[in-house]
Amino acid sequence: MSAPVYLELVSPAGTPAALVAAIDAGADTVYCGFRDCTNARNYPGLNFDVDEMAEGVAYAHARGRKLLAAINTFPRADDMAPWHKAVDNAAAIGVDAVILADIGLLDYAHRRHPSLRLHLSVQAAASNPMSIAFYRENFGVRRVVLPRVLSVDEVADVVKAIGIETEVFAFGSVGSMSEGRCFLSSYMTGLSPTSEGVCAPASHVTYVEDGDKIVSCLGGVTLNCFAKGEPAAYPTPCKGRYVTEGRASYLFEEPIGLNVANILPQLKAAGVTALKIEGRQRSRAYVTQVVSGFRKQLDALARGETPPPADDLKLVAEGGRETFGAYGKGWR
Amino acid sequence: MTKTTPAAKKTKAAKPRLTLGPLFFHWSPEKRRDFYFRIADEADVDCVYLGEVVCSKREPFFAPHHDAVLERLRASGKEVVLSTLALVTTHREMDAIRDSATDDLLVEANDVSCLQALDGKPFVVGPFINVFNEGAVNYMAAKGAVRVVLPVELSTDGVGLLAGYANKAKLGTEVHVFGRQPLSVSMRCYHARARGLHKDSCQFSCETDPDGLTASTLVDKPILAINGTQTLSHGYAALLREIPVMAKSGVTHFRLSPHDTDMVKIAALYRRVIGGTMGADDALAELTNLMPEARFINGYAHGKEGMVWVA
Amino acid sequence: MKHESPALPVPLARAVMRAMPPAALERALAVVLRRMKSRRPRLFRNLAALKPAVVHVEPSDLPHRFVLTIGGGEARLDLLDPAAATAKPAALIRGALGALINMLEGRIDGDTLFFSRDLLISGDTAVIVALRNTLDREAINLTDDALSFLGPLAGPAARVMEVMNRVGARTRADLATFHDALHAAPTYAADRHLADECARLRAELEAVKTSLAKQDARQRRSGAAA
Repeated sequence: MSAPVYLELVSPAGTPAALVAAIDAGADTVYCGFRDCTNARNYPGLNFDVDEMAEGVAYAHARGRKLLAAINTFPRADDMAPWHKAVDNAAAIGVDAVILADIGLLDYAHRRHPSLRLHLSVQAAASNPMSIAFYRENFGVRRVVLPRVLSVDEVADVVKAIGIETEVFAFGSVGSMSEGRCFLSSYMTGLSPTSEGVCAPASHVTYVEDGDKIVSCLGGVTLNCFAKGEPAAYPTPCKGRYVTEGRASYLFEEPIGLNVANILPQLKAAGVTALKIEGRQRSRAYVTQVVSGFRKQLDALARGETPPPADDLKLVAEGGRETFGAYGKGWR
Repeated sequence: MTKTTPAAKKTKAAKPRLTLGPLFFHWSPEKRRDFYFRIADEADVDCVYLGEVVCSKREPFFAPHHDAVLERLRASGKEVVLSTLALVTTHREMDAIRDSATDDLLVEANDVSCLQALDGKPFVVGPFINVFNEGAVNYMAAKGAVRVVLPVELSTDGVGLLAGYANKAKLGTEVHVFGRQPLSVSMRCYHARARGLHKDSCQFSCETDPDGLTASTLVDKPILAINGTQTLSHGYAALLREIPVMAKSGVTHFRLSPHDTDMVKIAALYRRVIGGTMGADDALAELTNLMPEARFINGYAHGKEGMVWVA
Repeated sequence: MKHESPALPVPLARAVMRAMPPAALERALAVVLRRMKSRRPRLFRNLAALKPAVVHVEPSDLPHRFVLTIGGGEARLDLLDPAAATAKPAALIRGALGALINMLEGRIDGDTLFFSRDLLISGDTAVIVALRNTLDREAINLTDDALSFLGPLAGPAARVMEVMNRVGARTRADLATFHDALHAAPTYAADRHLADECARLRAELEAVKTSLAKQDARQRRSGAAA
């Protein structure tokens, strides 16, 4: 497969205002979720009702852009109706694809809506060509969002082997756990990221001032203690500081954000179809900033120019710092 | 209350079986071999899962002993299931998955890649593939699954519902009832990271912690256990009081997860609780004697935080 | 291209709010909020529909504290009366006025402020997240809302704001500059041009207050008639 000439820029939108901001800033595609547990960013005040999603489709299509609906949590037994309804609604309002993770739901969407385009969510953790082939052959999945665990070389290998589109994470929060299979947050809060769509739910997060330090807790578990001026991360278990053998450290992951802006030519050469920006929980200011930053980069790349350095995105990155994540050496 | 009719008695399911899940930790090859020999000779379990689930780099160490262990377990009349890797990325790992899929042993698939390789051959769905609902249960049944090991995150209510759907689809269900609960898998090795090593030159540093490395919070509360690329609960799941209700709802297998303690005695305890010859509270008291340092948890089973104990 | 109102200049807002006596500020707030409510009924409906909560807002560079009441069918912002006994808030937001305004107007991301520690939150985090997400659903421009109550002074004030924005933090689409400016904010006081503007504004404050009182009375009359 030859490398595509154009890299599709996929932006998050947590609210209708963010969707407009994303498209106005130059996103090719926007992904969003319904206002319930059917999506993996089920936070208060966030997301779209069906009418808002339909308006979003209209706004995107009028400008030649696309809208994807993320329905990427795992329904619980005897409670599949909200997920089925979300898929039905998404199909009815004409979204360009649904992003799914659960095998039961993929099966439903494939049988019920044979012409609906299916994307495989990162929550499905399909990290190798054999897994991706399973979803392609059994459910007709047309695009896979690759887990944030592969190096650029491994991404290129996967692209060559699978014969469907790939979407890779370009910017945003970076977790080191295999997505969709991490129970750390429910272990501390009782609420599940996989089924209820909330990792580190705000209802279980507290910040307590301790002198000139701030202590963050999740479900009563002390996750971190920040001194003044020290960068902060999301209060998720994988970004906490833990003590092993008498030494405190960011055992799993530092407060740091992913940014691939400086390796765009390599990703393009690897043959990926689309670049995904993480952050439906972030504001429209973030969306504008990151989408316009990447738009400039991708336009330069499309013109055959070397993309300008993208240092200005560092400030919005988690912890105010950036990493290539696994893309460099695959966390070896 | 309705009386049990003779017809109902006849269809009443057999007693649930007791299994020993795959060993998550990196024990020395000899320790691992001797452990399984003793399990074969002395442990009252119906089924043993063999195989490396966590880190493919550990696989070659045990390979020389695999056949002897397998033979001894089979000779003891135990069913043996081959567990496969939970996170698969390299060509070598995919080859290993293909090899497992063509083995004569029943295979526990812990990654979807394994389902692809099995291609219709019967299999057990491992706990690292998410099966949370009847849609997924029915799909797995259609693909040739014989039973599903349910995710540790489920409550006994959720377990009951899924066991019901699984029974209808002629699938067994298995629940992790003893041992640290697997909470996540990663590409990154946290043992190496904690000790300032690179994953590629990790020196198999995880071998020093036969039950995992304790990770505590900044206020000194032990919370997690690290096992290479895997993260587990610090507390040991001890579902004993919950066994009767799960058995009643149709769970067919209960899983003990191997730890560096007397697993033969623990198997005997659970067998008696499953058989109804020992009360859960007595079993808990004995378990506490066996593992005086351990903290027990059962939060998930009660729909609560996994880390808590619900008395 | 559609006309964009100038961003509310932070030094100006700070100067005005510092100079205003609490009673006048309280009334100004009420007018601005009434104005916002009529311009953005959906925002207020969404805020009123949230879980009931009281949030204290502490601009770290102002002598005033604010009490935001949301949920249970209402949404209001009042000046905190330090003398009055008030219930403990569900949550507290603290940050420089500039950070708070820029976040409210959607020019800077709340999480970014949080990561850089320019924004501190404590208490019930769910309340803050719900509030932040609800506000972010709307394109809010405080300048429009604030100018609307200045009546005849709106024109000159808008020009002043434009000047101040040119001189001050040139924030539009330039987060890095804004970030630096935010931290350098106190040095604006030494900027003679700005100081002069502020002095002039203080002098005009009496006129504003008169205008305010008139509008206030007018609105109350029309409110009573409705």
